[in-house]
Amino acid sequence: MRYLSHSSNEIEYMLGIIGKKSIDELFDSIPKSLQLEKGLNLPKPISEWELESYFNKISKDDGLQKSYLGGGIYNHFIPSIIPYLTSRSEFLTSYTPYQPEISQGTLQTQFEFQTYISTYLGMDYSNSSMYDGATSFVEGVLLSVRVNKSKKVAVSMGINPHYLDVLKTYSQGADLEIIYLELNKDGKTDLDSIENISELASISIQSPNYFGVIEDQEKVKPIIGSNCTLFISVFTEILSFGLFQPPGFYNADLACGEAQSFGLSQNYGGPCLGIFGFKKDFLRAVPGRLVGQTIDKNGNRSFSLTLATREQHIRREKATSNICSNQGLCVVSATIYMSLLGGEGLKRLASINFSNSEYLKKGLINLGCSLKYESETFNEFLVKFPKTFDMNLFKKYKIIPGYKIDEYYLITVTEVLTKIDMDEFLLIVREGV
Amino acid sequence: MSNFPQDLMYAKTHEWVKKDGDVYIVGISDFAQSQLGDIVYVDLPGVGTKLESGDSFGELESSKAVSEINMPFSGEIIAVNNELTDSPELINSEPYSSWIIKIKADSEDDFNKLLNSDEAKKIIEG
Amino acid sequence: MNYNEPLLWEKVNGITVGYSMPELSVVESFPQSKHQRGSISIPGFSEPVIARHFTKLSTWNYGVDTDIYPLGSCTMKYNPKINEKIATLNGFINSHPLQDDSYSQGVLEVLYQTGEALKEITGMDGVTLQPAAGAQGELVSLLMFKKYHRSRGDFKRDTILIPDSAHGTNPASASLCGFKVKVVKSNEEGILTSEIVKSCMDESIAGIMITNPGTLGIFESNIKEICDIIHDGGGLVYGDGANLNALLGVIKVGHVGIDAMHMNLHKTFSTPHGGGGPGAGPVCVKSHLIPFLPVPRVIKTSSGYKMDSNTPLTIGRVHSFNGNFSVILKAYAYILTMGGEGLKHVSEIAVLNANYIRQNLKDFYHLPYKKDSLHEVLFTDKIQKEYGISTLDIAKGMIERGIHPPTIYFPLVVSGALLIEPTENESLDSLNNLINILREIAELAKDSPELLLNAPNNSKRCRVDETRAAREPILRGYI
Repeated sequence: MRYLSHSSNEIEYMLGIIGKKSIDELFDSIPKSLQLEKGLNLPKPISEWELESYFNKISKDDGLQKSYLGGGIYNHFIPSIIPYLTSRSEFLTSYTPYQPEISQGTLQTQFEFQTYISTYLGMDYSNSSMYDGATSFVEGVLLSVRVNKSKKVAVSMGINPHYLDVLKTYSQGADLEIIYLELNKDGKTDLDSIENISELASISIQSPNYFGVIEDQEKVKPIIGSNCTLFISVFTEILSFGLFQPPGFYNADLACGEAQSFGLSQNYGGPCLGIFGFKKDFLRAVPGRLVGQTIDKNGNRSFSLTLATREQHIRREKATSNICSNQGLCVVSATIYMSLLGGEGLKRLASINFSNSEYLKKGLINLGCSLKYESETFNEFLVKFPKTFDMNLFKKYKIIPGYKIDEYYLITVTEVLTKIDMDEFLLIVREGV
Repeated sequence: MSNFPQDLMYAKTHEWVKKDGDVYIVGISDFAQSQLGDIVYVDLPGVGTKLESGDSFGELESSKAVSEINMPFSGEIIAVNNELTDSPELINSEPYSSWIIKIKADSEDDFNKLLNSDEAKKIIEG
Repeated sequence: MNYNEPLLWEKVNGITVGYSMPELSVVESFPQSKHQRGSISIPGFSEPVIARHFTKLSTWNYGVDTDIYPLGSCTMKYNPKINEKIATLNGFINSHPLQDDSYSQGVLEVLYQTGEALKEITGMDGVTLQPAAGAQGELVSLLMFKKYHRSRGDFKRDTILIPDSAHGTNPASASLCGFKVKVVKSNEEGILTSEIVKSCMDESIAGIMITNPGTLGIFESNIKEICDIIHDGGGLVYGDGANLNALLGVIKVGHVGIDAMHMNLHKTFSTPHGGGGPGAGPVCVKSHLIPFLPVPRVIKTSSGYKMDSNTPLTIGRVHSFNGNFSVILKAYAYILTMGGEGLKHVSEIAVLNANYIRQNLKDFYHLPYKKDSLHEVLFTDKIQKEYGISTLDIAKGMIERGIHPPTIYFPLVVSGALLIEPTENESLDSLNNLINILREIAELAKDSPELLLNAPNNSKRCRVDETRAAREPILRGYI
């Protein structure tokens, strides 16, 4: 057992100090009738080398295809320095920074993250992260329910369907009345119906939405008018705000979404990085951890976790959420990513993503494919291939042509796909038709 | 040792009450503030709120704890000390001049049912 | 060496792009709409500048690889390096959650086999790997409890029993599920008794949440009887798996009467805490709760592994996709490395180490509960309080002496708690070092308390003013 440190002599010695004859006696407080007679039915321990070869073997056929999948998890380039720095044991193996004197590395990084994210989203503040986009969105909705004391919430059907599923799951506990806002023919949320609904705790819109469409978020706040209904701006592709206006520009009260695009691998969908931006009015109502700036005994600038009285370990059943962790290490990745690119880099990268996807979109239209929505999109669009085209052709070329939604495909293009890749894609369609 | 001024009455949950004509002024005792530590935030109720005896009318937060403040008896809140919003630490430094709310009592008798300073002292020494 | 490092935006010349920008290979397109964004005021830096910035910051942290991290209830065990390597294999990191199951057989094997192993370890019948953390595992379990009762036409059970020593997440999760919370008091020995639980049980009780061993490090020896009382009254029993590291291969919670239990893979199964996350909180359940498990779940068929959502009574999905896959992967690698016998050894040594600390410190610190400790031991500052030294001062004194403090002020039911969990990995030298430091602090508390009140002085920062941080919150800088 290479992870255990004692020799058998040491174990004997320690038992002697404790005054027990055997290891078994250490468990005397557990009734014998409950203790297992047989060992666990699990395989025998294996060596490091066997372990590695097993995982090499089972993983070698996965993730090989050229993929046009997105829909909440995006394939972007990850600079090598990110996994290099995040594998430093001081970031990787530390706990939640409850002892600030020996956690300034984590704390300063999270303060920088809060600053970068709130600046990038145009929000007053950001917390130090949530599990993922879905739970961040749900926590935003629950916040609106708490502050407005109404259980009625409106959500756009353009929000990622998994996020809506998670909301539905949580609503069994919170007893929410969820009103679903349909999409118009242009793929944008139908906001007209909201005007007739009273006592709405919040309206949630995703932009770019699940189908890639840029929503007209400037219409939301005027419709709300003087009501206290919160506007929750949701997102799954945070890179889009390199090119398109961020939630804060539309005066969103909360900005809830996913930042996996900022330096995290796809990893079959997790870990993700939930983002929670908010207006300062909600400071004491927000879920999750916050890092604040202060000083130490000698007056030196220091950082510490703060406003912890909102959280479960202090307020228990009255806490703003049950969340007890954040995505600390993913925060480090995203902060490094943003600081390598800077505002200029993020703009440029978003533009490349946009140009690539527009190229494929136009190419497909020229080949007789039809778009479900004509509106402007970022990275993703919904397309129908000609009836005569056999989709199985893509398999032959080891291409995943997007995610099938009814008779359409949600196609996602990022910077990792080149003109050569897309021309191959177009060629397959041309030949297949 | 925490002090309990003779001219005040006390609730079992460590609020002090001072009678001022037909208005009752409420704060928290020196003992309560010392238990809570450095207060960083006071959550005050709205003026006009009517509450029953023992109901929580607000919260005091230190950096690592939160404590409810309770109505010493039933009544209507007619004023709150907004100065505490910006300077919550006043409760630590001057607990007996840092009042939190003023109440119009439902019944005048309730005040006399509270603990006097000797009785309040006994509870914490108990 | 002591050095400072400014905040990123305080550095001069933050206009570089330290990222290898791909060539634009197609004709450039521009947004046509009114929604186009202007400039973004986030500074960017070259790769070497960033390498230094974050390397410097990292050195101000303390990790498990630095020295003992004896946080009670947190199980800060060693994070094996091979697991990190496995988690970077291309097949895993490049798998998209929406790709066809036939392209994900390796990924699905990891999920399926991890689930099977966890079922064997807990003696349970079903599992979900979706919860992203322990707290979410609690939520999932309680939502299943709610749906279970409702599916039987029982709508009046609206209350969850929770011991006074429970983690804060327990009542917070119950509340998020729409349950009321009724607190159950543990007895003077620090455990729950059948009598207390019986007196709380009625037709409004949906279930009870029990951490075993409890947060005092003591085994709930009446667990079987308590489960029977709850079940006889129509309720369900939730096991909080935070302290599972004491019980691997020793008992199976499923045999004892637990209906659902979450496990913290980042505690018991060695995945790194990452300065706060990501974790993972799978939930194992007995057969009567399987119909309510979150979807999708991986199943094994004659034609390979599949993601299956055909569960009509499911509570639904709780994660954007399939949970924290790479965390689950590392836990699976750990289970394979240790094997069944190795896992039992883990618990044995974890308990041995905690008791060794207890024996060596019990004359120096107040031991509020005399019952046997399992994998962690609880002391308080009662003795040191007489000299004006609190638990916080003891913790800061430990920092001054180069090791991380234990969990402090938890559980809340014990005044000035110091909860020490060494884990199985610590060598005898490391345990003795902790013991010697805590003994030295106990002496100092008597002789020179001012040295503790002023500690620490040799860490990156001296004692941090957390009150100020909360009084005047500064949560961001302005660029």
